[in-house]
Amino acid sequence: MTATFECRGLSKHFGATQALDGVNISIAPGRVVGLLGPNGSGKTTLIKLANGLLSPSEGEILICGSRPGPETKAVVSYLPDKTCMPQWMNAQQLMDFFQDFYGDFDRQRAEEMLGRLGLDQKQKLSQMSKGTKEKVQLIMVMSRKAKLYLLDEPIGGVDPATRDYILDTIIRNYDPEAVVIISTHLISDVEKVLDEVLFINQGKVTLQASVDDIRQQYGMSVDEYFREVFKC
Amino acid sequence: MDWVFNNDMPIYTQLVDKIKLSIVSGQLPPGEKLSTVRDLAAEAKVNPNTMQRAFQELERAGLVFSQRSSGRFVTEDVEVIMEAKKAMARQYVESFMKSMEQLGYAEEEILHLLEEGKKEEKQ
Amino acid sequence: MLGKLIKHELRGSGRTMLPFILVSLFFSVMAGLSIRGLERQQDYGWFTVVFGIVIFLFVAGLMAVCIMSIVVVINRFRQNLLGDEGYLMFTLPVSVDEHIWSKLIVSFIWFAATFLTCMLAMVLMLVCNVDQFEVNWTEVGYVFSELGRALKNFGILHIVGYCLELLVMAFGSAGVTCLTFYCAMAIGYSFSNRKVLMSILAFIGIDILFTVLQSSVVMLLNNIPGVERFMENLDLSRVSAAGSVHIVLLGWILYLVVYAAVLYIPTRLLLKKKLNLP
Repeated sequence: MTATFECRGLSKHFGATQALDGVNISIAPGRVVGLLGPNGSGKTTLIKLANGLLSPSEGEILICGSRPGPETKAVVSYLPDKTCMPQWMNAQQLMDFFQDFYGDFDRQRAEEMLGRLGLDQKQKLSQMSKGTKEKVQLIMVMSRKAKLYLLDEPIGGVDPATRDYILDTIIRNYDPEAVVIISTHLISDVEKVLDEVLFINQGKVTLQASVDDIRQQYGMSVDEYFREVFKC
Repeated sequence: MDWVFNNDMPIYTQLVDKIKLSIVSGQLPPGEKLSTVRDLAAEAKVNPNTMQRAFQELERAGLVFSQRSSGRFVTEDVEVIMEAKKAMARQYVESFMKSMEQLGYAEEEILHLLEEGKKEEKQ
Repeated sequence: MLGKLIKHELRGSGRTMLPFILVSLFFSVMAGLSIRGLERQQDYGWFTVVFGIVIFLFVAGLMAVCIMSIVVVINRFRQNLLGDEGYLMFTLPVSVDEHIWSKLIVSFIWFAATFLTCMLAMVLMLVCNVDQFEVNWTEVGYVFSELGRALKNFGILHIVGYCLELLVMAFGSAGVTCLTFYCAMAIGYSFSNRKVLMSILAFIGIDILFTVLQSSVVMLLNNIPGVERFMENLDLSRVSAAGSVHIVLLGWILYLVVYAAVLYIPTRLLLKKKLNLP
């Protein structure tokens, strides 16, 4: 079976700065993977490369066997770490938008999740609180039956209740044929939801292992192990 | 069920222990239908694959069985549950004894302490 | 997908443009009535001041619509593709070409709408102005007979051809205007900071570059030995009057197409390879 997400000798530099250096990764369908690393380690660069927002300097990145382009974008669902949806739209218009452009958008699922939030579909994004906006964005992204979900820092900067809601949404929308990549530096909150983790530092992937293996081998949680490895 | 996990063991083994405990303590009676993997995973806030793995272990141990279309159920075989209960009890006793020995108590003193403890409880 | 982008783009830009258009049409009606009112007034009371203001608003309204059409063109590109919304837009299953073309087409629609608004505003103002809509039918008849003669002279095919060519020219000119802005912004926003400043500089730079290019091409054509001979040999007397109009129009269209292409290519390349979202 083709790996859903694959990097071969992937490198990216911006002028003199090397953001990613010879990254080799392969992720099979059905895995929930944590992309863990300190700020500036290359997490966001890797995600943008997967999205086609950046092009590789060297090597290649493959989504379900193809280079990033309109065809892969149709099966990749992306949640950036900032509000990206037009603020003048309301929830209903957003759903219309997603339904228009993405064949895999499950409107029923989205309506259900919005309903559980008690959200007025006619309320504009600009009138919502920051936490609600982020939940709405998450709902749109998770309502797609995509092959690859890229969540960039989904729980940073939100209150614990919202954090729980986000993790709950990720668990409930789990699809054994899809891959979910969660990039974060808040590991202890996310650890139990992950199958495997990728440690990334200074543009290099230093570890790809399952959460269970790390706990078994080192007798500590991934969060604790991470702190050990990345001790300053 | 209490879904608090500690950090030094894989999650799935802790899940197996917790569900086993619920079964042997009667919280999940024999024949009881279990929630879906997804619902339980969401409740415990763990990865569905991990929950699935835990269930596979429990199926292997015979404490849980799955029926194609109807889902997963606690076994109706009371003997298996009893066996598991005894095995867990033996584990608890073993670790209790080890802890007491670490404190420096001999076997007789331990038994004495246990009896004292029982009397205090009755009062 | 292009159709969907256009639909979405119309919604996004219409929120701003439509109110301006409607308001200016409203003021044109008011202005028409005001002029009628002014003509009836004998003394110069405060009534006159109000009417004066309304007429001023009518003019200002039309100017605002024209200015807003440019502002919307620039702002939609900037906000929707180069700002935070770019994270949503560029991860849609759509090519960069479709993005640029959707913006170009919708911009043209708003330019056309602005033009029609101005026309309609004039008409409305005049209609509300006159007490009796008296048509001088003799004059109208004369205009139509002249048109008929022109048609016969040129042939209906030519007229249709001219209309199409003018339409393409209009689209081409609008396209060149928009692409100049788009290219400048694509360049400016590829820098890490001072994006707005770099965009303005790029805009000026592009303007200078094209002026220089155009004059160089003309100079080159004048100085290449073969060109004059070629023009002589082209025996233009054989071409009819109608045909020569076509040649001029088509020539201009060709110029616009090349101009637009020279702007389009770097814009597309920058958006594809050097996208620098915040």
